[in-house]
Amino acid sequence: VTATLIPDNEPQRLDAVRRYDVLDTPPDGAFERVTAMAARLFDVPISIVSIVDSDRIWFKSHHGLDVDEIGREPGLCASAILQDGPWLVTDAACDPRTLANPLVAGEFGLRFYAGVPLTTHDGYNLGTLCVIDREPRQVSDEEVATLRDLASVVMDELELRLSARHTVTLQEQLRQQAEDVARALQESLLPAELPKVPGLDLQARYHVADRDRVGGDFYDVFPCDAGVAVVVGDACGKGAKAAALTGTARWCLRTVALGAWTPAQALHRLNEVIVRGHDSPERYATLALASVRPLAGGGADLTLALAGHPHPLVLRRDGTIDAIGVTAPVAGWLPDVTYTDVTVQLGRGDILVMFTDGTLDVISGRGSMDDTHLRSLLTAVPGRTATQVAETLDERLSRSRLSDDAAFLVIQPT
Amino acid sequence: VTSARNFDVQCRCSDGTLHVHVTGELDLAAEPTLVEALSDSLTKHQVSRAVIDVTAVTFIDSSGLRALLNCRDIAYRAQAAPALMLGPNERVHRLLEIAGVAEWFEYA
Repeated sequence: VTATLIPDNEPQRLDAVRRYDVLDTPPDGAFERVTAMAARLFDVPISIVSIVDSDRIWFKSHHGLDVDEIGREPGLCASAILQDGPWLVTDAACDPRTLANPLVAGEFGLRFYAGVPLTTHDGYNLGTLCVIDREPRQVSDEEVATLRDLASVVMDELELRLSARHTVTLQEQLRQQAEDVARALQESLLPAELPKVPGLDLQARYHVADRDRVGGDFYDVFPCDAGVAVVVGDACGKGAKAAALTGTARWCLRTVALGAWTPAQALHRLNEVIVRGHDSPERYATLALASVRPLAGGGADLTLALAGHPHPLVLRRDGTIDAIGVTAPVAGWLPDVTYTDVTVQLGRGDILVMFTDGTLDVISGRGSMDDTHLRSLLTAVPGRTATQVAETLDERLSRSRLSDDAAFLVIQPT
Repeated sequence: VTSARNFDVQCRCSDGTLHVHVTGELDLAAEPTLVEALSDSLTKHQVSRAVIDVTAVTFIDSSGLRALLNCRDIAYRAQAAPALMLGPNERVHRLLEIAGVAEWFEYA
């Protein structure tokens, strides 16, 4: 390209062209309408929205001309972007600036050209809006003003597209960040891995309903004097507040279980901790907490207490199912609540399933709180091992659209 | 979040009793609407009794339960004896039972 056709700020100008990301995009209505309107107003056969690239002039819209782009060298638009005002050639065959141009001297026979640069808000000329005729013509000041106005419509459209694209990118970034925070928070609320307890097969799962938003469900498994403590819970609500309560519950129970404890005593402590820690009376959690002691001869002793939580189910080796636990209030709403321990023998091969209401929602219908369907599902699990129960529930939860998070824990003495 | 358009609350006063009629899905989206409706009515009207009628509630979750517990506390503080009207609503009844809070309510 001849040096005289290159603006002084060419590298920055080309950056601006790249920034608007318009080159080689498909035709679209807004620009088509502007060129059609320009051709009609000027009563000329051809109107073009051009973008001047490093070695070519690419046409975003080309009314009356069946060409997508031309070389930068013969193109008059390359000259038109060298100045800030309109570039007018009323009779190209007589004009010293253009008479030798192949588009003028050659077959195309261009005689009239009026172009206005498309100038960005920071002063770069991306290309032009121009009108072209094969006959010489005069233009009035009024017509030039109209062409300028149409050129600013084109520029507004380009700016609009750019900011829309920025907004979409920004939203995508924000969504990604929210998702990352939610995931990090969720992971901090679940044990990294389950402890290995001799004599017990332990499985725990967490299914997330909304990846952007941390839910209130949680589970925990940790060693204690009796053997192992297991808890499944659901903090009321969602988001950061629910996560904070989940953290409180998890660490409070772990602390209590360092000494001599029973599940009912631990829930009592937790209830007092939440009630006394209230800055607003808006939070509570439901929990099922158990200590499990594997027995030397096989099987295990289980002690369980509930705080407003759905009753865990024990799937016996013979296929019968027991709901266990004594109903007691949710933790964190009122002080001085009494929780009750129940002790249950788990035989070798019996399976304990603890779950949140999100699990019931999927299996029995949203909000039903009815465990009939879960019982049927458990009875039908082939082989009756902890792994198979977990896989069956997983499969059921994975193929449903969850309205709430769902967590469950499966324990089987081996 | 479930849309609040499946939820409605109407408050009405008669003979010193505030009747709060709750219809539809009582969840996280509905919770603030119910609590505000009750609070507003209790500010405007002097009543000795507040009856929360959940007979027509079609869905309730833990946030809905929190709303009912909050209503109970708010009415109590405003010296309006709180009561729940359950009707034959098995769904709400079951949640109250499982949550262990059924005994915290008086029933109308």
